[in-house]
Amino acid sequence: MAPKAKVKPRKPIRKRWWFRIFLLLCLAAAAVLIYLDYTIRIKFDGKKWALPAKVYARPLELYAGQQLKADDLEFELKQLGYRFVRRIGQAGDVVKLDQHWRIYNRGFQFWDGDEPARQIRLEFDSKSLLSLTDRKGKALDLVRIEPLEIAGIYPRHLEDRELVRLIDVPALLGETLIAVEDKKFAHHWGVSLRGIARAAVANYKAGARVQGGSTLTQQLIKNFYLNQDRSLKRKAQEAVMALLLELRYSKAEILEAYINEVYLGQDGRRGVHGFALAARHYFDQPLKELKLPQVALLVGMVKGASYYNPWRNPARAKTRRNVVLKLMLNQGLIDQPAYKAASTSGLGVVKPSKRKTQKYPAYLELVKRQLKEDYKEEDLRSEGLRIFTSMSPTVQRKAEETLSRKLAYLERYYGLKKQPLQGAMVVTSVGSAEVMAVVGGRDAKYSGFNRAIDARRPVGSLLKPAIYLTALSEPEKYSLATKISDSVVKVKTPEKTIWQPRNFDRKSHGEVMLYKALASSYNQAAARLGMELGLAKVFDNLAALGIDQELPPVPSVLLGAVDMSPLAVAGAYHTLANGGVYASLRSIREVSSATGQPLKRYPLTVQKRFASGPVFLTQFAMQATMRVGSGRFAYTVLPESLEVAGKTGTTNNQRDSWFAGFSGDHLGVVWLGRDDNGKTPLTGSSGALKVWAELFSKLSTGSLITQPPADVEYYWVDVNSGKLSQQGCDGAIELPFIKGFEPREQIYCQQSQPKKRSWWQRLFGG
Amino acid sequence: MVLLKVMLPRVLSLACLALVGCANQAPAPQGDGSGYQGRATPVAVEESDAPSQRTRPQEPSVIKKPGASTAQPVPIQHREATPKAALPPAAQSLHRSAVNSFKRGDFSAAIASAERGLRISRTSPELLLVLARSYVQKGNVSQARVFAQQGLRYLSNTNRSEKKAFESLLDNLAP
Repeated sequence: MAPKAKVKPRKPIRKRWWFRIFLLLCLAAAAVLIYLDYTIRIKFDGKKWALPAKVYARPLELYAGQQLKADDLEFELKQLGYRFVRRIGQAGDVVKLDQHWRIYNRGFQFWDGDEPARQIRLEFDSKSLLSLTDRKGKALDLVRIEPLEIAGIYPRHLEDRELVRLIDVPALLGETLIAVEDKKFAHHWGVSLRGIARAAVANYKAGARVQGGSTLTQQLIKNFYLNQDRSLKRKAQEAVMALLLELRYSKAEILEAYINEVYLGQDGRRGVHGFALAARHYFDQPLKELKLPQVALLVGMVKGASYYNPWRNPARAKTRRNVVLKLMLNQGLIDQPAYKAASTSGLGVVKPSKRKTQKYPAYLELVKRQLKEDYKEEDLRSEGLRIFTSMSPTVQRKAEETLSRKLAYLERYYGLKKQPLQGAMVVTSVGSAEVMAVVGGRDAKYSGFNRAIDARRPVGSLLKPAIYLTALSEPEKYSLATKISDSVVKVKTPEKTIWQPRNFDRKSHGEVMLYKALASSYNQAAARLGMELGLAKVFDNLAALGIDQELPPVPSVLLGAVDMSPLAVAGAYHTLANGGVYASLRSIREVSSATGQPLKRYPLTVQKRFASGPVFLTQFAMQATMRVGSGRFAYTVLPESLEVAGKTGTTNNQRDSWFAGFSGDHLGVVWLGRDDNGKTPLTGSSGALKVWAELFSKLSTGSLITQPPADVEYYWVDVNSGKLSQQGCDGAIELPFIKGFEPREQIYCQQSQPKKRSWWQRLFGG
Repeated sequence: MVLLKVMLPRVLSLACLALVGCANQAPAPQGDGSGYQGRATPVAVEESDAPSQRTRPQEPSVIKKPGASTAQPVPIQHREATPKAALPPAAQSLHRSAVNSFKRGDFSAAIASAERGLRISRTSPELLLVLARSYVQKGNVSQARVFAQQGLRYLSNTNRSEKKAFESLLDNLAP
């Protein structure tokens, strides 16, 4: 009998090799799942995207009595994408009936509170806003229009997006998106087997990839977590992650992420992501104000943003849009009349030239430099900071246009086609020291060399007011009526050379009153006065005005042999315009977080650098410059009633043409010249002043403050002798003096208009 | 007699002019009195009035004022102190808001509102006063002093009570 085969005891399952491999695989799969789950959560729960910092212009504040031209308001509203319509319907609509306007403004979350969306009514005259009421006619004190977004500081990978909450997304857009991209979105678990099978059949029949079977969730996973690789492994990973995402998060959260993530085009090197940004990019409208055909186009573009680009391929884009509209009709999302109207309408995209690229590179450069003092660059590129600046779109536009037009005119006039002129301009408000406009060159859209900030050129006579301010700060020695000699002046230098500045007209003008010497910009008088005062004193006052660069200790500095940028000149002149109170020029008002939480405010900080009296007298002399001196061209374009003060500047061989001047509200500095530092035919008067005057004629600006400080009084003086005179006397002019330092001696008055004499006076004399 | 009366001032004026001219005819500075005279840097020059090489570009507008040497430097009618207009309603509203914030002890908000108001009415003594007082509360005396000085500078002479408020504030802030 054959021995009974030994029956091997059965190994327990856990010891079998295949079970061990299976277990190992399970463990590996679990590890992968845990890892994928972790990957999903870490990105989905945390900060999903690196958000660019958004830079805003100042908000336009509307109030009754405001100096505001209707044209300027129209420009600002158009920049903001407001629609000029016949009947007001939704936020963003404007109805304009002659001088009567109705605006449905959009709400905005400002630094210091929310501005509600509401309908307002305005009434204008030619120069100002007469009244501001709500729709029921109740007077409103103040309304802030949302600020214009002027730039973004983008992440390094150049993805731009504007986040939107699902609650703020038009329902029609969400429904259309689901209808077009993933009909079963509400029912599947991230992967649709039926969808994959359908796509496979379609692709097989076509012999190419014509249809994708991805759900919205899979598309989100692909865009958000994975690369564009189409390998099987990547597809498997995508499916697993889609399942996990569906398990972890609600459909609403997934849809919201998709709406913000989806790629919808390219703006130069900047990628346009999310429907909210795409709405602004293509239509210049907020997402919730989009019309039906616009919604259909955007949803249609998800299939291929570049292929269906409405600017490059308008016919293709329209066909695609109409396919989407048809689908909306079939799904019952819209009715037949709406379909018909929408499918026959134009694409409604903005003109390519109006697209919101970086429109104000010169101003943005200033903002970035100020931001760098407080923020890391990486934070600016990723934290979605909201930066509120003081840039005025109206002033900026006027400054750009004026500079460009005037330069073209001057080139034409002087025949300078082969030696093109360049220019730069800075405009600030007076008092708040806020920079309103920066023009870095004649092509303001070009983000190259910023002449307003970086071009340092000799300033010529722009420093002369500091000499006169120094003198007038010693009222016991100098007043505006003090006579100074304009004869030839010679200064021996340590190098044994003689510094001998000459007047522009190569003439000497004898004894001239101080105000006249400044108004006419006499070099010899200014040099003599500066040397009388001592360079140290003048230099101290230049520093006190705000010129913080080191000045060469040479007398020629008195006449402006110092290189400065227009921005630096504006800083110094602001102290003069602001009654001797120094305030550092600034471009940023506030910074808040992506969610609107206030982070930092930049308050006005001031220092009293000069007594009010001497500054008032210096301003007077600079007003005289504009009325009877080297700046008087200005009043060929400015209204006579507008009081402004300023100073021209020209350098050797007329290489630089400068003008710096101010009204009661605005300060402007203009430089013209050539990039190669070549000669020009321009003086300060014939070049920069013309740009400045034209700009100021277009600004809504007020006069200088005419009320003298408490220690200043006006007196009539004789222009020849400088002695006290009387109104109506020959050669009598009225000048302001520091109280107690007016001339003591009185001249006998020769009335220019003889009094009516009685018959006996005519007969006997007297 | 009449002739003397007419001629005398002219004679006197000529004499005065000569004297003043002599007195002011200081010798050209030689540059040895100050430590600042340095190398002969290229000197900037300035036009007196007119453009130089060619005639002034012909623009649509024409120059109205020839600018005689004895012309009044600044028109008189524009120089007379005009009575201060009341604060515009928008600035009043911001002033109220600043005062309310001040009363609540939120001095930063008071400063923000006052600054916003000053953008509308930059010389408003009311707004400058609340700004100065807010800085006092924040312990920034130097800022407070400058804003108070500015407020006093722009105050009309008729406003006695505010003048007193500024003066007493400045007295307290005196270094």
